[in-house]
Amino acid sequence: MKVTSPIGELPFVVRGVSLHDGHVVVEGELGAWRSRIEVGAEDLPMLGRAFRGPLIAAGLGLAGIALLRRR
Amino acid sequence: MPDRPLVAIVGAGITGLACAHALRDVADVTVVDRIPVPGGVHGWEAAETRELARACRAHMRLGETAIRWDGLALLAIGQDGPQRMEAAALVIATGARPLGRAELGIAGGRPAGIVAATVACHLAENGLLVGRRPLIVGGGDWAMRAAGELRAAGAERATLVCPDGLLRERPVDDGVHVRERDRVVSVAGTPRVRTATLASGETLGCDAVVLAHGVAALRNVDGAVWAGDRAVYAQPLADPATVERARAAGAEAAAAVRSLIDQEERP
Amino acid sequence: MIGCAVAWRLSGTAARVTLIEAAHDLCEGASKGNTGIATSGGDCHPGTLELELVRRSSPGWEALCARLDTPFHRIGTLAVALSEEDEQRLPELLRDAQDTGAAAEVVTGDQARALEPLISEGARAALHFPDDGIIDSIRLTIGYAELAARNGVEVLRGAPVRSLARDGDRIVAVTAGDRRVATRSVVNAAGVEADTISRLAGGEEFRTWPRQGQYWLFDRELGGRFRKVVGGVPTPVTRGIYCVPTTNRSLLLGPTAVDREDRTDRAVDAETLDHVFDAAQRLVPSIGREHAIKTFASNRPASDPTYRIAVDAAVANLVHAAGIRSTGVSSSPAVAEMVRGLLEGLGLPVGDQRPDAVTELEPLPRLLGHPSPEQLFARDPRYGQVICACEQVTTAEIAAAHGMAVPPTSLEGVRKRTRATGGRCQGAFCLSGVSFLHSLHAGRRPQGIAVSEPDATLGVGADDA
Repeated sequence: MKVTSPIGELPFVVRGVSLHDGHVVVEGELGAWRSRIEVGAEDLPMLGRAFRGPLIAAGLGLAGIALLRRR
Repeated sequence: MPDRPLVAIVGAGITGLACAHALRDVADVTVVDRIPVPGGVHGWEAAETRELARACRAHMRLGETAIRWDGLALLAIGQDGPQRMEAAALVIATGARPLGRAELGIAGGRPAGIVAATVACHLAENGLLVGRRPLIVGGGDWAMRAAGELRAAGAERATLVCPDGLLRERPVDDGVHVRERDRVVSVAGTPRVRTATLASGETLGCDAVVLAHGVAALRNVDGAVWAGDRAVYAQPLADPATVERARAAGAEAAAAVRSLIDQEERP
Repeated sequence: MIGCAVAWRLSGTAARVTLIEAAHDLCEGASKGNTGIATSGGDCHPGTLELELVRRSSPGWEALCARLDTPFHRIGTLAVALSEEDEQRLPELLRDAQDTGAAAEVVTGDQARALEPLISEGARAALHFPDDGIIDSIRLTIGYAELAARNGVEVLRGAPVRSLARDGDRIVAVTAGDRRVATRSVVNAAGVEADTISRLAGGEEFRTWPRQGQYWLFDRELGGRFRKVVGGVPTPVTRGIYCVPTTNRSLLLGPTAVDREDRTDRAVDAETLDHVFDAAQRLVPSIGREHAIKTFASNRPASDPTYRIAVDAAVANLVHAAGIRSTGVSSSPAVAEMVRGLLEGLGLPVGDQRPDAVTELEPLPRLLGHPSPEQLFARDPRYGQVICACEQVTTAEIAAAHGMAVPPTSLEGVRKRTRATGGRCQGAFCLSGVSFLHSLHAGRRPQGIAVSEPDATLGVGADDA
């Protein structure tokens, strides 16, 4: 899985998926960073809309750091 | 081998990895990078990155920011808190950035819309356009990339103002205009930039000025910004930043580290 | 600076206070564009109100700055004589300085170089003011406002004063932005716009105008090597150009002093910057342009007379704190106290401190240079996430700034409160990260976040919501 973020595209490896209080919790690693995505019903209409990468990245607890990346 | 010297490298781009690789038989190397993946500007998916990261046999501390060097140890901080790493030598391989406004000598007011190419590209990749009619200062890789990214993100037109001329092939995009051998001397506008005046005397309308000219070393480890004690700088200030140049700079830094260590070991 | 200082001083009393700011944030005028020197008064004129207020403020900086979480260091100033002519003026300047009551001494060239090894070999002698200090004027201004807000002062930003409603010789209400604030008294601390406020109120006619200063900012690798503020020998016309190591360890060169008409013009020009740099380099030859990270200009409020701190002659409840020119940082605590006294004289309940008033801000630790990063990380793991690498600003610090009583509303506001994007790369590396964090904290889309004023947005084009 890949995640677009303010520091470019990063690999995301899922280590586990669980359900907590009606939220789907995905735990994994964003590169070397331990990451966690919590998705609630209220998030569903948002996903895929305007924020795209930044919101997902922020949800992962990723602090944006700018790095110029070439393709 | 417990008595091999410890070497800390800041920057897990090709330069840092190549340096680690060149030292793999003589030192215990730790590579620190604030990004959670190796590769730097060349990216974690690049074949060279994957190959070097595997072959260098270095201890990787990715997603941690190196903040201080006192000549004996490097302090980095990340998700596991501060880490102090003793090292006989420090290699700074933290890459480069385009020159800033003061470095380019651009006078005038301080309107919004003056951004580094690095920022403009990142924002464009995330769907945020810094200007519909950007003026891009520079004629090299950063400038070309900014022109492409901003056009792709919806800029109507982009004008490249190239102090050293156009260093790459002329862009085929009709929306990209080029002013060779000219530079921006001042900007004006409130609250957003509206015009830029060139050395030739001409004033161009724009809604963003993207700084993409020149190359400056990025150095952010306190104690190793200028001439740090036992610090070696591996930052090829070249445009374009090719894998070959990065590898060469890494190898050169490794040689400097070896001679530093040799000196230490001599009585 | 002055408005925030007055709000701070009044905030602990029984008065209900509203702080009105035309700009989108506090600290947008001279308060963020000055040398940050807290003078001990040795360069002020004896017998002036300015000197008196500077002298009253000077001894208290350590204690006040500790309470306002503001960096301050009493490092002293050297006014360096490079020519024979300069040297001959020192005894007279020393006598003037001694008349002010400030500590001052003449030192030889060698003694001066011992105090500050970076100064020129050509320095013949110097006047040393050991009690001068350097202060973070941005943190001071925001600290004043923050403590005021914690004590219940309402802070209106982006609220230019449109009108002041009178009833006889008294102002009864101020319309600022879209708010109407009923009031028993108005303090005019509008800096370069103080004349406009007086005119709107139907008060005394006087004129304030911008005195523009241009500055260079240099890398903290350079500033960190300085031990003293270094200036030239003042002439009757100007105090000249200073090299000021800031509390952030960067180095400021400046200011120039040119009277202007346009109050919004903050443009720098190459010729003036060259002059500033050359003057500074004569004092400290090792300064190199390659270490410049920013140039900027700011307008300090000039007026005649200066230090107009008094109740208006025509409007009975209008107190002016105007024309505080370049010494606003140095005199602000005493100016605030003087204004409080004037308001008390007008019958306002500002005589006693409320027992429940907050008197100090809890310090917000910063990772940069912190002696124990472990302690910070234990307190908040977000200290492990460095966003701005040059100034080593973490997500913990950015979050804390957004949790303030007067939070940032722009990227410039984030910079002023945290220093993020203010370092040697000027945001080339971190601006996108800082933007996204600000966007999350502020609850606004990245497109629409402001660089400075609300219409100076980071992005252009339609919001894709």
